[in-house]
Amino acid sequence: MGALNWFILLVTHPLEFKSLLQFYLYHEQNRDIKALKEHPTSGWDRESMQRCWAFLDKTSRSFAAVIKELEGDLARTICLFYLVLRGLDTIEDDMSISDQVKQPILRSFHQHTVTPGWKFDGCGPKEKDRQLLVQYDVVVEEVNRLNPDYKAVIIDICHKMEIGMADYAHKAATTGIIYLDTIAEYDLYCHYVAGLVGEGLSRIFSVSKKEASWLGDQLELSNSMGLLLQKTNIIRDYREDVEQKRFFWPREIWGAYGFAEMRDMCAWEGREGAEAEDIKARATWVQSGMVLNALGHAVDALDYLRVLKNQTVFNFCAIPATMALATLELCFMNPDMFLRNIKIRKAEAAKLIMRSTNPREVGLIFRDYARRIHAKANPKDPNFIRISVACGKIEQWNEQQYPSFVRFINDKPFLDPRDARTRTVGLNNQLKSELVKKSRPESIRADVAANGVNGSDDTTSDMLKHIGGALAIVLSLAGATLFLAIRYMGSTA
Amino acid sequence: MSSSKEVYIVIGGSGFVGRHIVQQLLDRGDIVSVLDIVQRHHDVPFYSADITDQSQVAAALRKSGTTCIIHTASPPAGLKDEALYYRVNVDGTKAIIAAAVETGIRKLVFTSSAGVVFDGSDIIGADERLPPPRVPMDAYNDSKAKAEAAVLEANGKGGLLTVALRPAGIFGPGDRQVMTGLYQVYERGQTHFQIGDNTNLFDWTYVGNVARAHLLAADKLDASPLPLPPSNPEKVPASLDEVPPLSEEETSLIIYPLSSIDLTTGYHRVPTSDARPLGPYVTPPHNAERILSAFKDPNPGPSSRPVVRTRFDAFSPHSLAESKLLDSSKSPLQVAGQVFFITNGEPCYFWDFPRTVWHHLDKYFPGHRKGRGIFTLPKLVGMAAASASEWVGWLIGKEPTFTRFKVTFSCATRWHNIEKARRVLGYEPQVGVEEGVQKMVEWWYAEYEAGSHRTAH
Repeated sequence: MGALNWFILLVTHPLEFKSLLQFYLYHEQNRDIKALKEHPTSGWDRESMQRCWAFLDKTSRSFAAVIKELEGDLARTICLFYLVLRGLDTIEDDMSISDQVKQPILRSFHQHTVTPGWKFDGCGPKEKDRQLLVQYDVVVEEVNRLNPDYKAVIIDICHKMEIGMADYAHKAATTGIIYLDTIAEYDLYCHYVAGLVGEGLSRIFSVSKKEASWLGDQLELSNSMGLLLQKTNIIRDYREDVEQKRFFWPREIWGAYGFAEMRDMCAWEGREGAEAEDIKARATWVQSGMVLNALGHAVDALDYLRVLKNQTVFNFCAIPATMALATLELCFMNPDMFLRNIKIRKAEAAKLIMRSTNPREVGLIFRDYARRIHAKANPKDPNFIRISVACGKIEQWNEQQYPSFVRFINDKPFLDPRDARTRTVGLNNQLKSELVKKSRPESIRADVAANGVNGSDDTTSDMLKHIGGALAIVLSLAGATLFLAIRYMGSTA
Repeated sequence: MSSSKEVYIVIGGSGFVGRHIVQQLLDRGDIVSVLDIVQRHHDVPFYSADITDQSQVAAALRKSGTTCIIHTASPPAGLKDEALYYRVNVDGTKAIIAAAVETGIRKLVFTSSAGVVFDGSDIIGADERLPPPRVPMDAYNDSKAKAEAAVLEANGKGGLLTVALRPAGIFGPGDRQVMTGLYQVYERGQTHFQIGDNTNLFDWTYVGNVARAHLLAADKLDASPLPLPPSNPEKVPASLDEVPPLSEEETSLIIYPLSSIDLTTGYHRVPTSDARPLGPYVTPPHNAERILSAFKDPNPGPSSRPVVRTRFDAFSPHSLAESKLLDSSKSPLQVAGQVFFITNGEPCYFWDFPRTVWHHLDKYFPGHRKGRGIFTLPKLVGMAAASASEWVGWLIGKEPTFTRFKVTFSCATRWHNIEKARRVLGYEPQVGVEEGVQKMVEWWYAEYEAGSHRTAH
């Protein structure tokens, strides 16, 4: 950003100015893949890998930065995984290639990817990632250098995805059916193009031993991660996709509100009057139905993030997920989405990158967006109560995994005396200490030490004092209030 | 044990929940009779009795040949007569227990209320370990808590097995409280007022789900008791280390992941490469049959998802050991002598439920509501206004409709954890909040058209 832009931001959005400034000041790249000490894992010392890194920067708008920060050889592996799938996707997307030519290339892409020297210059000149395929031999060379376990995952996922893409491309080319009919079909399409990426990533994480060996078997959670991100993009990109005659929204959702074609949902553009208002309202209910459908993956995504152990893997997965929630919130009840490309603001993105560092924080980010979505919900929307329940599920997740009555003050746990759940812990501790007193007085210290919240004698007794004191205050206040209330009630009766 | 057919009596079987229980028992072909003070249906044997009179109850139990009591009777919440609550709920329940022991009844299922743990402050994902507050909310909840304690204490007396259920926010066809109140607000044109910021989650439970939980509890009450791990009965554990580890049966109850409750949000199974539809394939994959049948399997069995718990979780090893340390004679994973929260498992933000109801009413009364924006009162302002309203009511000698209790009620977070009911009772809600509201409003409007609302009150 130029100085003028910074100045304008400072005047018009001072809070965003602050976020962005902090981002540029404090957010450092954790890893420099070009550094000499990183060469053994980043492969920067090879020209072919340097070219691959350059392709990553060119082809990926949002993923390049998070991929490069991954630890050890994960960054290089996932960079190549990304490029392989980007190459496949470019061929699938290219409408200038006939179905006859496209089918065999798609269906053997996993073999091309390991065939030294393979490259492809048949993409149309308009295809923005055409160059990646023209020089695909560098990707092939680097894929073949990968640890065989990583390579096997990449090739297996590529194989599965190419079949799905070829099937859908063939269907569109031969039947003329352009819409996905049901939500189940929509889910399956998203599974092919994004859910499989999730499966592949989890398996790569497991192979790297940086994550649990069973993570690769968590197919449902992995797919949900992919589906959350993909569905969010599909919602946001409505206008762009419709203009390019790509239709991903399932008819089961938009057909229910009286639309015959997907483009009809923006037919209110530039018009006024009751009819335009009606179209706009119905389009908004469709939009809300799409957001509801995407929100259905949010709790799975949180469950997935909750079991990650490696910080760089966590950031890699969490940042796109929080961005997705922010984007869903931006789209929800926003008619502009039907007219143009909308994006979350830079400062908001910067804030999310800085905050998405642990599952508790990410849970709170999800909850904040859920509340903002809910605040915009409209009782006239047929999805109204469903949105409420879906947002409630995110709230429930937070309380189950990170109960809010456990606070941290100077890194010491402290139980909120105003929260009913503290009664449970307080009561149990009290009963337990009575039990211990009765049976074996000499073991009090040992027992408290063994069972305290963080296992340390001092903090436990400190905490009990806090709770006890706070409880006493609360109870006496409650008693006083009750006394006054009774007198008051007595006088009114 | 349960090979001979159970004979049920539903005490309070003419009431809202009671009638749904009777209906579900009839639907599955069970023998059931009703004990109540008024008779509203004539499809089952009816016994009129004062439940505070042990001899009257015992006579009805003998005459009906009852083996299982389902006790749902209680005056409705919100009455002024506090003594009535204690007489019916506490004395009545004690008399029923005594009559059950006297006549050798085997099972007693008691309808308690989630309100027994509510004291006006937030209830956030509470589980059954939470004790009732030391300062009770009101006479209704206090009397329910005392009745519940009596029921649980009676477990094992003279061979009687007892269990208590705590439903939260019951609604549905037959309801005379929630729907009446919401309609009054609608009729007065006050639906655009909101107190608080509406970020408080609230549990609502469809009456049919509550009834089903009662049937499950009755069925499971005498299922072979959970074998407790071998422990020396002479030696009561004095510390967590001495609590014996979970038995195999106990472990099997808590080890599998629970599925998400998707009744209202809609269930769509996430496709994976191991379980998915086949899609528009050109040539089917080699494992086509396996992945398709895996996807379509209605009972896919417990998934491999990890079960992640914190130590504060009621089913964490730490908490289970703690429960047993406090009372080594029973396991929180058994049915008899236990209490269970029963909800729809899909809490929503407080004001969204009434708004959904009002939106349904708009279909029947088109044009009644003006399209007004929501007017939000902060809780403090609401409290002050409610105090003023109570004072005015006192001055002019009329019952105020806007009270501090209502403000507290609408600003509190109140949702409960139903994992215990799901794992131990096998309870799963059958009707979601959305469908339930629809059923309730349809029923209510049919009654409204028939003009029966005025006569019912």
